[in-house]
Amino acid sequence: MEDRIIERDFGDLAVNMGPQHPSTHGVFRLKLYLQGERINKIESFLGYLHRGVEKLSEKLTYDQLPPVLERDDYLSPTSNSLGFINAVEKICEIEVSRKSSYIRVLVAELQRISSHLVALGTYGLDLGGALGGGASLFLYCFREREKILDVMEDLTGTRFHTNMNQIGGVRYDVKTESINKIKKLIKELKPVLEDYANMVSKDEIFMKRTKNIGIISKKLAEESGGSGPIVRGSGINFDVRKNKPYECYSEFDFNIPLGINGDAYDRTIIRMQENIESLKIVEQIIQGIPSGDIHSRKPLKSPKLTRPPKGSSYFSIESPRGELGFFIVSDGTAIPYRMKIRAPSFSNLSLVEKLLPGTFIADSVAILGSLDPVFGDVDR
Amino acid sequence: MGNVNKSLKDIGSFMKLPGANLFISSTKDLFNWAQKSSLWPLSFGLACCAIEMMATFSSRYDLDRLGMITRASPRQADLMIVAGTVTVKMAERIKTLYDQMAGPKWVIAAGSCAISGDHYRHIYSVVPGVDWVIPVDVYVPGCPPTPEAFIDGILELQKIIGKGKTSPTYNTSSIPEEKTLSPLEVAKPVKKSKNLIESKFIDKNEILNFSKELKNNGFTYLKFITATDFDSNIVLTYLLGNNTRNKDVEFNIQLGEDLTIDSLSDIYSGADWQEREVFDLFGIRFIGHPNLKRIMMPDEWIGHPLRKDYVMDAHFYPYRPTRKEYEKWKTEL
Repeated sequence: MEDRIIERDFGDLAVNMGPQHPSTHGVFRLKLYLQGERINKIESFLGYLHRGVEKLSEKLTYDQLPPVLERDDYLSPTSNSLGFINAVEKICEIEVSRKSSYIRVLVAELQRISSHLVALGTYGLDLGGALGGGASLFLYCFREREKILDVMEDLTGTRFHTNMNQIGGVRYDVKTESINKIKKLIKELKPVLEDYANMVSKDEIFMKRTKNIGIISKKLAEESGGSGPIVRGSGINFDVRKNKPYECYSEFDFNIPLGINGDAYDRTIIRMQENIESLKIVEQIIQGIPSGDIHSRKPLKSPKLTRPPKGSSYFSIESPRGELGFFIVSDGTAIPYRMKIRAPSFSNLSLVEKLLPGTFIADSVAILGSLDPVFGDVDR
Repeated sequence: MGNVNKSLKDIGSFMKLPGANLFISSTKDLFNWAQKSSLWPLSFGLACCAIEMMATFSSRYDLDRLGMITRASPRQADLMIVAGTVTVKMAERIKTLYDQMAGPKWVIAAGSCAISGDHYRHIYSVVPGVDWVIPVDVYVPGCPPTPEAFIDGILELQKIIGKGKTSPTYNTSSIPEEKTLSPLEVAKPVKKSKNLIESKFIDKNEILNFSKELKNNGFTYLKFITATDFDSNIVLTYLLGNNTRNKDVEFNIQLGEDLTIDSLSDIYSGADWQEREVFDLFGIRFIGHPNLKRIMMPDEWIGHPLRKDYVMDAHFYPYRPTRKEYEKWKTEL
C-alpha cells in the first residue's frame, strides 16, 4: 500500500480577542487570523468606550470642562486637565503663579508614577508565569500605588480624579503636614521602585517573553504618530517636558531614559526608569515650593467665566503615555467651538496593526501590553 | 472555622449528640449561604471604575477574604460588576456576556456612569443606565466608587442573596426589538461660525505634494488630523512635527461641497486611523484610503456626530432610549 499524504488547506482560523478579555487592558477587540500559531493578519475594532467628549465639550463652559476631561485618560487624570488648562491659558494669555505651577507638576508627576505602576502590574498579569505567577508583581505594584493614592487623598480629597487643576491656578494649597507625608512617601518608594526595576529587568523569564518582541523601528514609530515611552524605547529623544518645556519643568533636573532596540523589554524598562526620574522631580519640588497665591483669579465665589478671544491654538504636554495635546477653536464665547484631543494612546495603539502580523499568538498579549493603551484615551 | 460556625448559626442550629454533631437547616438557606460566600465575579472592566475595582481586588483591600475570585470566562462567573460607562456598542456585548453566565447570577452597577450615564447621559453613544440592558441588583454610587464603597456594595449583595431574594425581573416588553435610529430631521438648523482658524491654508489638490515635501524636510511625525465644521463647510487641520528640529507645521484645507480629499495613508502610516476617525465623525471621504470604515461608532450608525447640525441627544434603539422613555420605564418598574 502506498503512502499517501493528504494536504489540506483549511485557510486562516479567525480568533476573536475581546472586547471582554483580561489582557486587552480595557474594551478592545482584535480579530486574529491564524495560520497555526502565527498571526497572518489582524483586524482591530475600537470605540467600545466612545463617550463623545469632544461633542460634550461643545456644550460645557471652559471652567466646567477640566473635571470631565479627567475621566478621559483615567490612569493619569491630572495630565488631561493640565493639558487643557494650559491650552486655554495660552489663548487667553493668563499668567499663573509659580506656586500653582509647582503644585500642578507635583500632582502630575506623582500620578505618572502611579500610572506606570498600573502599567507594570497589569503587564505582569498579562505575561502570566513571568514573575511568580504574574499576580505577585500586580499585587506589589498596587501596594505601592495605594501609598501614592493616600497622598493624593491628603492633597486633594479624592483618590485619583483629583480635580486639582483650574484655569488660572490650582484648587487646593499644599499643607506642611502633606509635605511631610510626601517626604515619607519618597523615602518608602525610592528603594522599592529600584527593587522592582532590578527585579523585572534581570528576570530571565521576563527577558525571554519581551526581548526582541514587537520591535518598532525609528521610522515606524514617528510616522505612526507614536509618542512617549513607545518612541523613546526606539531611541528617539522626544519628551515634551524637555523639548517644549511647559509649566516649570525647565527648572528641574531630570533625565529622559532612552532605549536601543525598541522592543517590549525596552519600553517596560523605560517606564521603570521614568518612575525614578519622576521621584527626583517630586523631591526637588517639595524642597522648595515657592510662596504666593495658588490662583491668579479670585477663587471660589462665582469666578467670572473664561472667554478666550477668537482663534485656535494647540498645546501639548507629556502624559505618561506620550504627547497629549488639545486643539481648541474659540469663537469668543464661554463655550469651545471645537475641541480636539490628540490622544497619545490612539496613535500608539494604531501600531498593533503593524506589529502583530507575523508574530506568534502568544506574543500578541506581550506586544499589546507593552503599548500601554488606556481606552478612555483611545476612544474618548 | 469560628467565622463559619458563626455564619452558619444564622441559618440553622447545631445539636450536640453523643459521638457526633448535628446541624439542622433548610436546604434553601444552606444553598443561599453557600452562594453568597463564594461569589465569582467576571473580570471585566469598562472605564475608570474598573481601576478602582482592580484596587479593591488587590493588596490592601483584598476581596479574596470575601470568597471572591475573578473569572475570565462568563461561563464560570456568577457576578457581573459593570464598572464604567456603557456605550451603545458595548451594550450588545454586555447583554451577550450576561446571557452566557449560568444562573443564579447577580449584577452590581458600579459608578454613576453605569447607574445613570452621569455627565455622559446626553451623549449619542452612551446608554443612560445599564439597567436598561440587564437587570441590576445593587447600585454602588461614586465617580469612581472608592474601594470601601465597592466592599459595601458586595456586602449588601451578600445580604440580598442570604435572604433568598431573586434578581429583579426584567421588563423587556418596552424595548423595541429592531434596531432603529433617531430621525435626524429633528435636528434644528444651527448657526455655524465663520472660519476661526488663522494658520496656513493650502489648496485641496496640493495636499499630497505638500506633505511629501514636508516629510522630506524631516516632518515625519504626524500628530493629528482633525476637522471643524464652519459655515463655509468643513475645514481639515493637519499637524506635523519635526522631532529633531523641534518644530511643528500646522496647515488647513477648506473642503468643498463634495467632502472628498486625497488620503495621506501612503505617506504616513499613522494617518490610517486618524482619517478613519475623521470619516466616522465628520463624513469626509478620503480617496485612496485602504480601509475607510467607521472606527468609533457601530457600522450601521446614521449621521456623523461631530457635525454641528447633529443632535447630541440622538437615540439608538434598542440600547439608547430617549431620556423620557427611560425615565417613564424606570418609574413603572
